Amino acid sequence: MGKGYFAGIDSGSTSTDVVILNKEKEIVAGIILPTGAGAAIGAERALEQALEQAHLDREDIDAVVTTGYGRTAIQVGDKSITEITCHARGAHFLDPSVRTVVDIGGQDSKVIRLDSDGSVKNFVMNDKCAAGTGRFLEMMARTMEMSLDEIGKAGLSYDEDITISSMCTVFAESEVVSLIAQNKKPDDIVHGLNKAVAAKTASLVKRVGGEEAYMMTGGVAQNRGLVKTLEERLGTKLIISEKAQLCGALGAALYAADME
Amino acid sequence: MQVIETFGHYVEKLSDTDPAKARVLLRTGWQAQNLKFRAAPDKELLPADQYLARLMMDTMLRPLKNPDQSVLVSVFTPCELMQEVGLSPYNVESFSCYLSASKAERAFLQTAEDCGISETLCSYHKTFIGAAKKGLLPAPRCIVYTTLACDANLLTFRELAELYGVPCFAIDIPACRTRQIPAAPASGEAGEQVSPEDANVAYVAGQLRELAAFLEEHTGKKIREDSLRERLARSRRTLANYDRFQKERVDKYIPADLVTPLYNGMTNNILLGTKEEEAYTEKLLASLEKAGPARGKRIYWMHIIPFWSNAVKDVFRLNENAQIVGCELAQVANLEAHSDDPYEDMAMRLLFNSLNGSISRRIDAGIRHAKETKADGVIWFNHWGCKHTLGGSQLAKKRFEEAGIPTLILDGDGCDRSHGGEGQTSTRLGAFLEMLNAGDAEM
Amino acid sequence: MKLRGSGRRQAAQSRESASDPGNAGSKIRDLHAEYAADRTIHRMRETKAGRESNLEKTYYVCKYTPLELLTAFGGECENLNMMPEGFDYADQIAHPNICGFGKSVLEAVLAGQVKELVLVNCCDTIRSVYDLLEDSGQLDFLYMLDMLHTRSAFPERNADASLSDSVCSRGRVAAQLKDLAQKYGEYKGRKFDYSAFRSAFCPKERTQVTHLAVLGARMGDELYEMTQKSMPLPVVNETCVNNRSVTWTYPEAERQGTGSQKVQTHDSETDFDFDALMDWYAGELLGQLPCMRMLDTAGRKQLYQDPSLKGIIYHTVKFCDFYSFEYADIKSHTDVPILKIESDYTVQSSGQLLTRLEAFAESLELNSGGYDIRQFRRIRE
Repeated sequence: MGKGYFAGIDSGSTSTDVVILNKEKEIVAGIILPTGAGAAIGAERALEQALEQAHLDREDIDAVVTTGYGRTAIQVGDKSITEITCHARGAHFLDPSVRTVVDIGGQDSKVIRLDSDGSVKNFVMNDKCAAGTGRFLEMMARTMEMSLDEIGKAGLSYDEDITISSMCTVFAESEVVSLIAQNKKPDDIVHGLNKAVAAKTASLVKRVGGEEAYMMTGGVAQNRGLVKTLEERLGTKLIISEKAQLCGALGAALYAADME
Repeated sequence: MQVIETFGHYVEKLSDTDPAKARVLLRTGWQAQNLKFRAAPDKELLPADQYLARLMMDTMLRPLKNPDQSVLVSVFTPCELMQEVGLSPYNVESFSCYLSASKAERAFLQTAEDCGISETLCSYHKTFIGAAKKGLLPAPRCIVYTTLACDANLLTFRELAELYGVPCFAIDIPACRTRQIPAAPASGEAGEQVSPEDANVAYVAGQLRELAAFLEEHTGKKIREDSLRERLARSRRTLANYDRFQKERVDKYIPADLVTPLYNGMTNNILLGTKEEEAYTEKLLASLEKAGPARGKRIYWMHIIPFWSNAVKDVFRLNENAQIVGCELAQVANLEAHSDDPYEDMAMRLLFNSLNGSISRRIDAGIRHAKETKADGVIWFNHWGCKHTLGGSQLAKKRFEEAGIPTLILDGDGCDRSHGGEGQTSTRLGAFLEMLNAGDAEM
Repeated sequence: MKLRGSGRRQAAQSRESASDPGNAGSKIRDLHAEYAADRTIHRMRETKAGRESNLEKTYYVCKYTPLELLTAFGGECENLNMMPEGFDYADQIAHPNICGFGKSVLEAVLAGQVKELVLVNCCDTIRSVYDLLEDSGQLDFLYMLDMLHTRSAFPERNADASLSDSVCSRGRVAAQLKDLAQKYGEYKGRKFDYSAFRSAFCPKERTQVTHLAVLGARMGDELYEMTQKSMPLPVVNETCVNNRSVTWTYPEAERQGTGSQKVQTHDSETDFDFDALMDWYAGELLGQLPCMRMLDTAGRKQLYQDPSLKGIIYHTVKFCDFYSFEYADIKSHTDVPILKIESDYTVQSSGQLLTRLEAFAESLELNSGGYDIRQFRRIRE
């Protein structure tokens, strides 16, 4: 038997995140690690680091719930739940007024509608295409020779309102190359990219019937330029918790706590 | 549909160098599979469904064993006339499914695309065309198809007729413009204004009479009207049996895999009128007595089922927590539309098919059948290349949910395993079931 | 392959910016810019006057649409063929993986640019478009004709002879024309005008001049203009709706005794049999050069067996399957140079095609052989 601690592991395509909660549902550890080549190993390492952070041993954990794409590949874990349900739970925990969660993940995007108790009412995911996902921004960052951090800060202010109209990531890339060669300002190009991602995301929001309050989760929530553009597009404010990237793991940990 | 791993690979490779040998290999492999079905059937399925698996395999083997006694059809072609002249029907979708199950579809898809065929064409049709072009599939006696329900029919069969050089008969089906079917059947009362639906029935019935002449010409056999009537009566009984089964299974647990509901979608169309298909529906009804009480979530499936997908298998294959309790393709015929004249009867089955006309007809039928079988949720499967299904998916979700039935839209491919996206399929399916189960917890 | 410089390329080079001389990329960008600046058609539509006059038009997409019938009720018909910048509205209510043209129709209606639309059930995508538009309630008038797939007066062996007139394919189409006439007439508040109907017939003349042709799936106006500009010979649009050809032969038909109605002079405005007229008209519509969704497409050979045809630009649209079959067929049956291009019906995707069109044009110039291609270019420049 453990000592009243619960862990949630979110094994994503880019990062593996772990959250450990105590009996009072307080967060005692939060870890974000790059997944690397293997979901199983990535999960082990992340869990180890989280335990270290919380000064706990593996035996202290009563229950572990896994989520994310890699959830079925992970050995450790008492139960696995999809990231849709976990993001919803996590978002509700962070702010019970939230009714719509927007998550632009590494390889997919999702918009989730919540009930007042944090359960999933409806959800929609993007089609199997990189456009409008974190992968899209990663590729564009590479094309512009910027880090993800840098691209996240650019585009907040812009002079020329450029529209990148390509539906397809490959064509968008050649559009960006063309704009660079025309000596367009990086901020302006990034703003155009943000608009493209925002348009795809807004389409998902419309499809699911988005309602206030909106929360954005996942790593891309750190991208201030994108957040601002998305807010403009949706005509509303996006709540962004400092725990945004841990939202999935947090939800999983909460479900682990339920298992008592 | 478990076949040896490397079998498909050999079939693909042999098709390049010696298609005739590849065909023999394919036939042998499937015959072996058929023996396995007899000797060691999947005990977890109902005896009726074990029987169905053998029946389907037989149906797929016939064009390989006796191509001259076979007729290639589109899935909704009424086959009673063909059965009367001793021709065995097989459809493009089923055959491509079997090639895919044998893990032999990739090479044929590639062949079709290399010949310039659009990558966005339905993969059932593409696989079949590729296999035909490679010489793997023998020429049937003839080809009979209808314009129902999709564009791919218009292209594939014309292409195949040219490739094989066999006689080909096309049936033009007018769109059904009414959401409800008209009350009185057509009987050609002379002198009165003919309603558009009646005229449509007569148009199709007329073509079916032409089809009868065509079949007689190409087989040298005569079609007797009384025998045809009996056959149509059998078709009606079969459909009525199946309908009753779907209604009476509401509180019963029927073990289901992914292929059985799909087989139903095929055999309830191309084998309609055969004694075997009627026997199957009778066995189904008989199995209700012994069936245990219903358990787990019940899902009604719209469109074809991607039987190859592990993500879908993990959720639905022989799982007490969730089963597919019906597939719309097995219930496309409108049972209220009926005529004593066998040609008009077949014409009505075509015209009032729920996939004919506006998507509303299809959605209405889906809602009705999902409710009849007390489904907890519906999955609308957007099979790649099926434009009318894809285009109407959001509207369908909206209408199903307005009718109180939670609906998941799933994107994928029924036949092409390289389509991928298993991760997302798993997430969407998993989350949908979590939603349905959470609904219980609240009550 | 090194190509000889053409007049146009020299002009482009002189426009290159001083900061990166000799950069091939910038030449293409300049052409893009030139093309973008040229899109006056779009500009026109965006003026208030342009928008208002558009809202009074009855739009159509298919050559089997009975335009003459609509005109007879006072309708001003226009081919809906815009290429939008994106599919924001369409993606919301439909699905990305359907034909781009279908999405552009959705886009135009949902953006409020179209109020009256008469469709034909050409293909699965258009059927979806109709379903969605009907549900949206955004149109003042929406109708979809069920065009049958064969023109043959059929069946011959119908058991009940009294039904035969109405139950052949022509009869089925005629029945729909009458239904459309009734509904459109009600909507417009007008009666059928026989002479307006008659005058509306203006069949397309086939050109005898040496030319190139765009074949295959319908091509958006913007892409067609771009194609015309880049080619050294006149380019005839033979795609889809553009090869519509419905001719007024009614009096002849009457004299030959088809139809069971009274004889009348072609000037009569009141003494005509509407049913017989529609019956004849249905036959005319069905009898056009077939499109790929008809059961019998043998008649399409005329499109590429024309001796004055010197090159083919074969166009397909992403998520339209029909024309890839024909392309595979034509390729092996003709010696005429052929370029295959595919677009997704957005303006942006067309931009990508400019290079390929240019390259094809250059290869045509090099291989012009027995005729002087330069005279055509000079006239256009």
